[in-house]
Amino acid sequence: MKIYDVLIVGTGASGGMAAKVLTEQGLEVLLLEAGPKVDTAKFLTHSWPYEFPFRGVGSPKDIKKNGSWAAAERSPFVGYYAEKSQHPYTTPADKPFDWSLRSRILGGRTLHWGRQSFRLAEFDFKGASRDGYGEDWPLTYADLASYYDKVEAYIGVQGMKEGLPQIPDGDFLPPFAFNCFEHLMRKAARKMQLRMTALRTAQLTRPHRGRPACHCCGSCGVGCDVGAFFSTPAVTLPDALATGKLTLRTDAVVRHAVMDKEGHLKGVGFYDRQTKAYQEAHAKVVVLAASTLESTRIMLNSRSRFHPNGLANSSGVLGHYLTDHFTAGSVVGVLPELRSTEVLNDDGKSSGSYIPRFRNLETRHPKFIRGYAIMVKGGSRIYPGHADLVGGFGAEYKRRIKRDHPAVVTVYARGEPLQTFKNCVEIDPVVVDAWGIPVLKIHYERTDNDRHMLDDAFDNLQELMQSAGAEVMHADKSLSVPGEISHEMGTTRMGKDPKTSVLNKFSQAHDVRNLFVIDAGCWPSSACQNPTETILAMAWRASDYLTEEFRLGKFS
Amino acid sequence: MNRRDVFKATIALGRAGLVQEALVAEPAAADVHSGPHQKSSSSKTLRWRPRFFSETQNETVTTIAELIIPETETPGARAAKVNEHMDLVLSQESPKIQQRFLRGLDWIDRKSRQLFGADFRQTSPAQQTSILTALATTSGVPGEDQVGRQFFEDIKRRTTFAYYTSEIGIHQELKYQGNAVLSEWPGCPHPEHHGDVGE
Repeated sequence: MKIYDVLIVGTGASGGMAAKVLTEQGLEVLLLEAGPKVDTAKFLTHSWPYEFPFRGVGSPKDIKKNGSWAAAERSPFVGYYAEKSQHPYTTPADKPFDWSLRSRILGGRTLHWGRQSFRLAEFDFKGASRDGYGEDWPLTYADLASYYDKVEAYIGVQGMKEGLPQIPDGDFLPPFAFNCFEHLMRKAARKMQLRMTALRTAQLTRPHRGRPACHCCGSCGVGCDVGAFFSTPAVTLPDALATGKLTLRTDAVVRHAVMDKEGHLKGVGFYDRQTKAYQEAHAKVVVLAASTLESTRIMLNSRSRFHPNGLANSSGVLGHYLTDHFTAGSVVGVLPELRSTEVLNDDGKSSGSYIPRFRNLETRHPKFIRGYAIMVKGGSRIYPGHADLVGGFGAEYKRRIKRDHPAVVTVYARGEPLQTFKNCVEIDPVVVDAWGIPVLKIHYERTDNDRHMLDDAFDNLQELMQSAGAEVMHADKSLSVPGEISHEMGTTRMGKDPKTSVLNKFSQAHDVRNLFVIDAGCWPSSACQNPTETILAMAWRASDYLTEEFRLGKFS
Repeated sequence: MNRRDVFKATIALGRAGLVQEALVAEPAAADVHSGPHQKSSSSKTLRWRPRFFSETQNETVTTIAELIIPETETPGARAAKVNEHMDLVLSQESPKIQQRFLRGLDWIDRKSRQLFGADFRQTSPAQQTSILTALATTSGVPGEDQVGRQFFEDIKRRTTFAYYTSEIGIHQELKYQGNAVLSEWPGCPHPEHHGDVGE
């Protein structure tokens, strides 16, 4: 059996990036993906709801069987969203965790992600030093800065420079222009001494490195058939394949790591997705990039006499310190000056605006630590979601829906959760997936910090709407269901001390030197910015280090 | 079977929420995956048949939907064939949800007979509107009226969804401008909105 230099599990953001960096530096890489290939030319962009029997939503039967994401007709690709019937998970009855917005397909969630691309701030790496809670990252912003530069230059990010330390600037492509409602909300934010900027997204506003500019069809969620936003199949995978050093094997459902007789990691065991035949793949180095929880699941399912608590888990923290970003309140309103205005194309750019974190920067808030950002979305959408908030029926009901359609604005807060040991995953003792692989049982609870952050965020959301003169249609003071935001972080925590962490600052396992875990599992704290750009930068940096270790003969 | 037998059989099964393809003589009712309006190879005229509703239930649902979203300067729920979409979705719902919906329809007819001596679809628009108006108010008498109010909220949501995802709803009524192909993103063209610029 061929022994590759590196075996990567997963083709999401981190796996794709590692494949590109490692092959471009001459390493022979096997890239495994649990799901099927996807033909991006077959994405159903430019389609209309009425072209589908269930208007794009999917049939009730399918929704019940596989979850509403997987049942959606506009994305009819196996594994685009993981089907519940194939990929179950469990939670305690009183602790819901909504892990439905995940994928098992070539490209993973990069096929349909929110594309938000913000850097972490210098202080995000040093949260514990600032407020005493948790652990600092074992690296600094300075360690990652050049990788942020490289990632942004490579993938293309549109945005505005703001000179704000909480969202460090990069070299951006020209930003999408503001819509009417964004101008009005920006003025309202300014009255509160808050800065509102364009949502930075990995969408191209001009051709970039051979990829076309975004044509603003608003269909990002069903996949981009022209590659105008960053995804593995559009960006990193072609570059990796062009080196001739990449072997891609899709439909490979990895179950566990495999060791040799001396207990050295030699590869992984996987099932063919369709035939369920079991086979192994061997490499000098194994890189897990299956997404935070799936990588952890593989490690926990790799118990042996050499690793009785799971692979590389002498610290006992594998599976612990799980977080997911949360939404802390939302308010829907109508801007009176936009009522009954001519309907424009508002949702084509699939983007919005952003008020960066303004709490716990210079002064300490008395009730909570860390902070939250505010998203601002709105304008005419393909579906008038505000209709559900309009009372009555008849001609007046119809008229009000139409009148308010161009004028709707939604603001919501996105907060930083604190990592706790108690929030964790373990292997479920009973339930297995469609390949017989034991699944995860996820334990997650909100913290008081989340709740106090919600109090403050909700007040500010309401004040923002007031400042804009908006008529509020609906104000929701609640925290999102855990897991819903789909930014899982933690469970393979990185740190300086092998007694309290799984990985070192290069995402290399302390206990197993030829194991790297490069998705967001390594994050020791969560910040409030969306994680993908940092995942890409960390993966690039880890891959550079891994390559250097090869050069130094550490893995022969 | 002749067409009248098919019709009766369809009604009976509609009440149980189990209209089966095989009993529908017309070739137009295609399977759920290819859309309900498949042209037949013998080029007979298209004719939609409900999978779930009986013919009278279909009429009642269409009437209610048209009252919720009526024809104004643009077509309403009837023209947008909202009943056909509701019928399709309900045909795929769990028995519990199907039964709840049909109970609601029954409730409406009983209320109508109680107040006006006729089934809902056979009363006047003014009478129909008065029944729905009583259901649309959020406060009210608890108990039996709960069934009616919950049914109204349910059918209002279904009607709204089916209407605003239809061609009529998206293009004629809302005049939605998205899902296009642009060479550049124009942004807001109104100088009067740009009070935030230049500071």
